[in-house]
Amino acid sequence: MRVEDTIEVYVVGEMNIYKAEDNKKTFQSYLTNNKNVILDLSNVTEFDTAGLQILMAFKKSLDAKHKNLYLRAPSELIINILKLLKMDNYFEVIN
Amino acid sequence: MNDELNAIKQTFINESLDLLEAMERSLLKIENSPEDQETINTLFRSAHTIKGSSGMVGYYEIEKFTHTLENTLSSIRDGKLSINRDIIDLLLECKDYISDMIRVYAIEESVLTEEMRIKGDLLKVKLQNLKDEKKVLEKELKESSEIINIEGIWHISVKFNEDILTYGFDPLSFINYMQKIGEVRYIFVNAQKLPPLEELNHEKCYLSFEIGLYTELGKKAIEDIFEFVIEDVKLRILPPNSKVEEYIKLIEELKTDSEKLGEILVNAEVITKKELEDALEEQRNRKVLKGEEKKIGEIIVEEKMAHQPVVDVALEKQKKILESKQRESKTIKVDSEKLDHLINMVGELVIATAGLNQQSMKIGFKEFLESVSIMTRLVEDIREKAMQLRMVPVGETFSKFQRVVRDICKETGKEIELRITGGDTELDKNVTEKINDPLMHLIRNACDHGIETPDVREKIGKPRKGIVKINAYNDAGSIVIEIIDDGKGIDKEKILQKAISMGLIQDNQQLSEREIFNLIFHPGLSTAEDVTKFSGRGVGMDVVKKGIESLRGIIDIDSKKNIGTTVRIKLPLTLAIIDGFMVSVDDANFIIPLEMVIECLELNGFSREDTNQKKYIDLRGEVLPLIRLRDIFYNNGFLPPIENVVVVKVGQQKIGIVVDKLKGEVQTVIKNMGIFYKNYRHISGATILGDGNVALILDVQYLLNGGLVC
Repeated sequence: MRVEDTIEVYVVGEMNIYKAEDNKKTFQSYLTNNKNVILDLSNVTEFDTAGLQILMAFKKSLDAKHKNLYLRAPSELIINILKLLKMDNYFEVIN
Repeated sequence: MNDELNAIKQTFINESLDLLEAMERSLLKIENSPEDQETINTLFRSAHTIKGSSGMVGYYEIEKFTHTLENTLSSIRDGKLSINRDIIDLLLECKDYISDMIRVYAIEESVLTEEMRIKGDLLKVKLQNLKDEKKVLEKELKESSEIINIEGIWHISVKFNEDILTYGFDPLSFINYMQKIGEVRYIFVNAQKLPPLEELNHEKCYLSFEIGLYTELGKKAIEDIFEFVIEDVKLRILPPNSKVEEYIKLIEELKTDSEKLGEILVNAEVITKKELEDALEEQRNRKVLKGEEKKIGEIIVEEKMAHQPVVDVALEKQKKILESKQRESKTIKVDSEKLDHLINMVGELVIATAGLNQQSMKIGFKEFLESVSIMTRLVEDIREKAMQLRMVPVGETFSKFQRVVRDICKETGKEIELRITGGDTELDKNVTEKINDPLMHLIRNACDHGIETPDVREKIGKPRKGIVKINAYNDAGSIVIEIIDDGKGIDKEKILQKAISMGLIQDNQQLSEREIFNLIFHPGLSTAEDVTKFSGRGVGMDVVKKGIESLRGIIDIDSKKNIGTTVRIKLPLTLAIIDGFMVSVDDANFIIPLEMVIECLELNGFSREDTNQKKYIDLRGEVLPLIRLRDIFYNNGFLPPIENVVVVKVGQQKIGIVVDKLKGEVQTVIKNMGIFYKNYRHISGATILGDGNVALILDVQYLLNGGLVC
């Protein structure tokens, strides 16, 4: 993973239905760069189905462009949900 | 429409405040027993309901805050977060904050101040930061080392309505909850329908789930997880393939009212009637022969009549039946005004019946007399039942004090345990409401002035933790509430000095111990050296006494140095009726509260001359001051040859009331006299007798203290 190929995006606060629209728009804006994306999720305070769907759809879109999505230091909240859904291996988690 | 909305809001306010109170009780309970899953569930449900209903009436800020709280509570419920004192502190703060928000939004219909808003954000952050890594680790270790039992896995396929998110539900929360009723063995998130981000509608739900759940519960219980969204979910639940599971399902689906485990098992055809009889026989035998106390479920398993899981499910079923029975008997809410009205009518009915009774005596027609006597008995029953409607256990009022004591401990660094006994003693609802403030004051006093700091206690050989007991019991038609602390006791010398300096008593006056303690009830007399946030300002004890007296109650203090103080309050069970002793002067009837009457004496012509001068009689060597009702109420008319004295006792004081005739015991409904008579302080109320005449109820306390001894 070369640094110049990668953008870092910090998500702070809620990743839920209330913020779904904002988050979708933000992520979508990074699709045009044609780069790998590191999402820093260490400061996510809320995470629900809407948030999960956006993450999955984001990955799907990046996959289509043969780019990778890395989740960095997801907060415990997110880890627990991914574990619950046995999706711990679905995303690439880095620390 | 507007009215309707207001009514809904009012319901929301009442309901939420009740729930918040329940939350506080639950929190305090959990602090002492963190493993109490039932209470944790109650707590969670309370928060959940507040969240739901506040959203429904449009208070989104309350909804959002409660949502965060609910998340924390759900972590506690799921065992991800263990309870400690700090968490309880935080949760109590959150509970207070919600009730503040309800006050601001719903009651005052205004908006949060900046300060409150910041406080709310701060609380939210605190809630989200709660972590308990040790516990999480432990849980993971435990999970990984558990031997997996493949038998009995339910396959659940869940497909939500794609608009589910806009209805305010989070599909993940349902799956999360499954962990609560069982163990999620496998899960497959189906994202086939999920489009790439560009085409994603962020408000639609694209995911569906295939879940393998191991649980001992049945189809119904799994379905119940989705209770709130049952219309918006496509649910397929495939039961596991074994005999045990089949029994479990049978039991779950069983429609029965029986709360007996054996009957549940028989009804579900798990065991036969014969087997049950054998098991019961075995149970009796073991008790008689071996002294063993075995539960029927244990016997059934031991005798290999059924498998343990089946019995466990049946036990669960039994518990649910019991719970729902309790719920049914617990919850009828009636407007207290309606109740008052009913009781008033019943009072009138009693009076009317008494009138009918007298008329029937005059007529003396046998069949008529019989009918009337049956009716009288029924009316008596109705009256008794009607009075019981108003009776509520005092425990609920008492349990509120847990929080008070806890706050004081936190503030002052003292260690105090509040022990409540006799909480199921019943008392008129009106009385419980009015007794709250005086009791609160007394509890604060006990904690603040009575109980010493832990270090001081240790030094004088007491346990560090002080104990404040609140105890209620019935005592001959009244209820006694005691507040007992094991603190330092009341300093007699200090009270005396203060009372002398205030001119309440003379320097050389001899007072009994009890009289000294009762000086505390004088306005302005507080002996605490330091005034704290909670008490000690010298106002209060007189207010407490007035409060108790306005309920026709008596308050008394007893105290021993370094052993503690006991405050005893005696209250009538209800304000609506009175057990009275009727007397008359000339043709006017008076009622003396029966509980005050000690004895009755004759006052014959000979001693009358004598007592008229002395204004007291010699009652077996004791001086008994006299009050002559004739003098107070200016009755003229013929003076009977023999007058009577009713000896009454209020507190520790005895007095004789001189009347013409003694008429005996009556039980009457108290009527207020109306404001026109409010200056006639000798009388506390009136009642209408069966023959339509009025009898006045004497305020003996006032007669005694009003200096009217003749």
